[in-house]
Amino acid sequence: MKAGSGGKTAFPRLGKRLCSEVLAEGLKGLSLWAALASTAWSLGNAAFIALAPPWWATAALGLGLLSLAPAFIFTAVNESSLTNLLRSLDEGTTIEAALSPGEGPAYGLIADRARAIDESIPFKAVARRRLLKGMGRFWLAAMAGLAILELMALVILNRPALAYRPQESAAGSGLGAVDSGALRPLGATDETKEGMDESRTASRKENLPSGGSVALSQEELQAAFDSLAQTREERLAMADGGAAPASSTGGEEEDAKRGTQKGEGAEAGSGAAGEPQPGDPGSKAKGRNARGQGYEGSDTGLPPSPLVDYRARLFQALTERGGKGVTTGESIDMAALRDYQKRFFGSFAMDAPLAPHDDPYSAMLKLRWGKLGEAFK
Amino acid sequence: MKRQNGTWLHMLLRLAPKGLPGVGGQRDPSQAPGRPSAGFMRASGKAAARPARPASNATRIRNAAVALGAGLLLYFLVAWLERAMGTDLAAAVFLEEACKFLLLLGFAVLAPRVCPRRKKPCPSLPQAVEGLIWGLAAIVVFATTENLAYFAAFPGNGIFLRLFWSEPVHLVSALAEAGAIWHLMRMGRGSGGSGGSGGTAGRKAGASRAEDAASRPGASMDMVARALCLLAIAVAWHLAFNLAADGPIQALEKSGDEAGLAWRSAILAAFLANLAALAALGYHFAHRVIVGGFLYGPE
Repeated sequence: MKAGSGGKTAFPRLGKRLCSEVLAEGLKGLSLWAALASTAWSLGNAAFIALAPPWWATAALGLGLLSLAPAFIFTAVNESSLTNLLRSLDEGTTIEAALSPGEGPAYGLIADRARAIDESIPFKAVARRRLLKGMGRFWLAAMAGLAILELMALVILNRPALAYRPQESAAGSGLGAVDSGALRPLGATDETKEGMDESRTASRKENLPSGGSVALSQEELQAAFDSLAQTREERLAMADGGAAPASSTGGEEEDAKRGTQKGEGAEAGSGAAGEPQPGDPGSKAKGRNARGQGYEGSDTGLPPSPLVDYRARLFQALTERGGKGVTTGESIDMAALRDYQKRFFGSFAMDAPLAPHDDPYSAMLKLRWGKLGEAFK
Repeated sequence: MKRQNGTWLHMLLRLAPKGLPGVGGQRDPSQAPGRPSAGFMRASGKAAARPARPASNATRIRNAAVALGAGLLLYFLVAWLERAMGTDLAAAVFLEEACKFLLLLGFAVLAPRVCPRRKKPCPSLPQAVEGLIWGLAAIVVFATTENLAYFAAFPGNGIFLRLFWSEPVHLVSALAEAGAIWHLMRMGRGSGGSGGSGGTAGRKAGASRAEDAASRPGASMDMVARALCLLAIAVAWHLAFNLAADGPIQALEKSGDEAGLAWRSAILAAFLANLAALAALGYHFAHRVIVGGFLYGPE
């Protein structure tokens, strides 16, 4: 029997039923893909956890598995399932006989009968197919893969995991190579931190008397006060956009220069020339990192610890205001301490004067809104 | 209805020659229920049908390996051709679609010749359709390889966005090309190809249908027009999405829209359009090619 002309088939209802069967087979293929992809994902990630490959391994595995999903939908079409459905709908195989090639003496009668059967197909019920039928072993494999993954994660990572996540991910951080610290070796950074901690501890020990008392000599107080005044002047000069003091070191000149440029609104450069290099012996005291480390390690003659510096300045202020007879009491008045703190740190407040900058687009918008308002008036 | 059925059966039994199994109340015990008897089939002028056998796992694994290899080869061939020819965006689309069309055509044409069946039951899935199905799987492998190659060149999580952009485009164009190939094959069979596979009667029927088709050149022209239309859809769809990714989508991404609302909306709209096209062409492929081929064969 021919398919018919004009796009119409001889057995349209049967065609629809078979088409739905094809789609159901596609869903079954999707189920197979899900089971196999779960297995591959679990085993792959277990291997990744054990071998610790680069960060893109997980993404590549996921990409490949996701991309292959349509292939399972296409190739799930099964001829036997179509035949079985056809025979369950047409138990007398009349349609099958009508569709066979060749035309015998009873062909016309069979064709008429086949059309009648086709018309009754929408009222025939067929057994509901189960999507997961025959898929048990695949899902069992998926569960086994998941168990292996969790076992590996618990043994190696000491926590359950569904995917391998490397600690250093260049793509996940969203930072460039410079900002993510890729240019500096990790060991060098750790050594620097350890050295800073050791020097800080040593300097604290040096500043403490043998009895552990916090009392300071007059010379130390004077030195602290001088250094405080010097630092304050330098910072004020930087904030005003003036030149750096002549006594400052190379690193501070660099900082002062940067501050000046920012104050003038000029865009700062990359700063690569001023960046500390890992092998540079004086790099601790110079550059951007030295600025944030505060007082110690720099060659500016500052007190080695900010805590000592603060205490020295507190004593100095007390001496100035109350005379030499004034000393700290046994108990500290917290309100007074807060007041001192406020006044002291308030003296460090910096206001960077910036030239007024009007965005031309905003100015245009304001102008137009103004004109619009006048027009409404 | 029952009475009518009984009348039919009575008539058919009368038409059947005597002495055949299943006739005269003696049913062949080895015959599976639901299968037509040989006498029934001969009475209607048909060849006896064999029960459909599910494809063995070995066959599936072999087909999957062939599809995998073909998809990989196709990717490297296309990449080499594009590099050698220095194609631009539009020319690359034409080259890619031409290679995919040839791959699908090769699968459809070579499948019956490489793995011929001894005797084909009817109705059954034509081997050309099976070839097309595995050719589509090869196209999926091609798209997967392309995505992985892109990921190797530009590592980043943006590859998943590209996956949901490019994979449906490849599938839409491949389904359209598969539909076009099916139309061309039907036309070829109808115009005197080796149509019947069901013995002498089938060949005679094929010959008579070829004469019928020759007497109706309009039908052939109709099939050619449909095939060309589907091919045009395949190329135009791929070209439109490639040009959109190269132009308007990038412009929206770089626009001053901080939240990327326009860009995200455009991506989502493109994805939905792809899904709609995929559903339409997938239904067409399932209905016309798979079910149509199963029921009516290529003729």
